[in-house]
Amino acid sequence: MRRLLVLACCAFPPEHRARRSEEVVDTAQLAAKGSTWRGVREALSLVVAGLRQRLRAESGRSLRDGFGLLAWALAVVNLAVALAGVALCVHPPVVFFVGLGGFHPFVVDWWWIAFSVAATGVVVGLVLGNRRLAVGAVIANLGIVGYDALFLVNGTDWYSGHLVVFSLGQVGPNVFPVGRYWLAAAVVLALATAAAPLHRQPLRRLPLAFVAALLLVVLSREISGSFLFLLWPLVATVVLAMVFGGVAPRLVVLAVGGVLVALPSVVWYSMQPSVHPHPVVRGAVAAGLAAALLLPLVQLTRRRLT
Amino acid sequence: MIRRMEIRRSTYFVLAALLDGPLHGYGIIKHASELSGGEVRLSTGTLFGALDRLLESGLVEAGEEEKVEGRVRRSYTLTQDGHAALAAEAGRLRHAARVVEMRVARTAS
Repeated sequence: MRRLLVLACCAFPPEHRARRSEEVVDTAQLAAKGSTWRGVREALSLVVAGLRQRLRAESGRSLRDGFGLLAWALAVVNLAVALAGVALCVHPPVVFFVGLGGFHPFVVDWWWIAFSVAATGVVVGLVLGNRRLAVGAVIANLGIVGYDALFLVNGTDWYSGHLVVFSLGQVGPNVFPVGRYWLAAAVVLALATAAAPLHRQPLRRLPLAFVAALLLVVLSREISGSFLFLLWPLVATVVLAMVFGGVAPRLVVLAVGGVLVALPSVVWYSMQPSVHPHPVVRGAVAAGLAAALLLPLVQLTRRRLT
Repeated sequence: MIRRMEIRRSTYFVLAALLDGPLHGYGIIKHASELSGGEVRLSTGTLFGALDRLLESGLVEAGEEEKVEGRVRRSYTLTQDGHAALAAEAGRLRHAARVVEMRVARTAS
């Protein structure tokens, strides 16, 4: 029971936990009076109170802090895309070989190595709070992704360049990110890193970032390399920003940044007659994108609680 | 100067429980339940959420942490501002009740 209550206390912001966790857990244990159900009720109440406390703490954050959160989130995903690409080249899923006669043409060349090194550099720079390293790595990352998008992807054929490795065995939007899709992410990551207030983070964040990136790689492998599943956390972030954006400006920056990353691929797919031929669908997608960009921003104009 | 803050029912009984003297977290939960005739059953999350707000607005003071029978405790005391805010809220509730009671009595007669 005590373990459950201690776990529930994780919902509180870290500074609150450091100050009062033991007192809160002891009080909850007394209130539970040894009953499991009462213990669960107390644990739930702690989770709700902790999340409220976090929301209150968020109101003290600035928009600039939001760029830090956006840079952090995109840096982890960017690293996951690099690692997933390397993993697909080295060890492709069986589905890749269907239709290719057991042959797959992808190798870990200099581009993949440079992309992985730059993506790692961004994460390390953000954790160390080293602006020179973070901005340098993010510019290198942009250059590497931009080189592929502008020079190696052939004209209107999005199924070329290095990121095409994500397209094999996939159909429709499941090929995300191929072609030039990831360029938007690299641009938003570069802008967010340049605007973020960088502070030295606890070093344990570094292995945590790699674990998070590897988890994303594993999840992407579940659907043969696609990162389209990231759409769901993005939708959840946008909804949260629409609801709580007035008190949590960081959420607004994260949501708007995420939508800007997804924008080119969503627009491109909705314009493909083979994917969504009906103009009503295109209209709905356009309205959804506009709402996802504007409604969180509208929340910022509301009075912020202190 | 008392900062005007909205006093919810649960917060009202947290403040009321502290009228009789300093209490620790679980003591407040029990006393608030007694004072409200069992109507207000504070969960630990609600209690510490209310205490955080009351501490921030200076209506309650926290004592030093102490260990009693292996459990960490901290007692909370009502400040003068807290006393005044509670008295003002009680007055407001009394007035609100009186207005309704008078009208109910008039319509009944």
